[in-house]
Amino acid sequence: MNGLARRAGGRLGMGVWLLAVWVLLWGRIDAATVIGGLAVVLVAYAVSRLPTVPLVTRVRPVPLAKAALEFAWDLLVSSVVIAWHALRAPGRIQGAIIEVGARSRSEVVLLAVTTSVSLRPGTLLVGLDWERSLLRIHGMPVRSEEEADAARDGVLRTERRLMRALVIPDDDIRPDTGARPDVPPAEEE
Amino acid sequence: MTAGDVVTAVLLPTGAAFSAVGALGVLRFPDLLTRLHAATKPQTIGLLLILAGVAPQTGSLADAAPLLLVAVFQLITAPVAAQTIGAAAYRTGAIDPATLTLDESSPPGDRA
Repeated sequence: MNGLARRAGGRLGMGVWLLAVWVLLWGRIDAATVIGGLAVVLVAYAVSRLPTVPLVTRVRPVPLAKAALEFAWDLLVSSVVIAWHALRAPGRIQGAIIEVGARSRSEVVLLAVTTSVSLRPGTLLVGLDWERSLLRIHGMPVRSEEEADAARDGVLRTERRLMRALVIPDDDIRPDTGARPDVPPAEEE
Repeated sequence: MTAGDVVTAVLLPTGAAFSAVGALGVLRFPDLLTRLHAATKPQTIGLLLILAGVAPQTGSLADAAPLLLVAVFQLITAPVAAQTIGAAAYRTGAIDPATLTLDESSPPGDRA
């Protein structure tokens, strides 16, 4: 697949998403809504030159569903944990800034990871070093080195899950091993 | 009372409770970052539960569809806001070191 087709595919995906939002906002599907939606999408493109969405070549449905379910569970747990601390001892809460080396080079995967991280149990992205693929994360509650390591493992687990679900053309990393072919393997957690 | 009403009766108060605790957390946590946690998490699940509770009352799929849209945009935008504020706080050094057990990041002079 050449770059042009890839870009066109990315544009088309964005257009379909805009049309879907339009139809959902109207709450009904009929000829007038869809044609009006298409017109709005075309005008939006002509005026704003929306960015190309990096293409995902393949979505594996089962791992994606698994990732979504685990994310929903994480969201619930995180909310209960933070709620518990808000009610019990908010003044004594301790956090930590930890650095996590991301394995994926794909923008889509990293975006999914950071979004997921910022919604997950006591983790929040405060910085991203793109050159070194380093995620700087504030974790809470973290009272010891062990809990910091647990938070780091959680982020890496999320990344592995998402890499399994989304297949990216220029992501030359095998999700099962996490090894990058061109660099020596990073130390394992 | 139908099954939908039961779902609504359970989910609406649960969602409201999460949102209330989120607000309480913003009030009670010690510094900006810890408050951001309270602002982004219990409140997000609170809204999702409230939307799920409202859905059975809408009667038709067409009326429930915008609720899904609200949920999607909440999930997309909440982390963006949290990360933007979090990154700004980190760069300007607005983090109270007393609330940190560990800081693995480079010394403040090197912060990009």
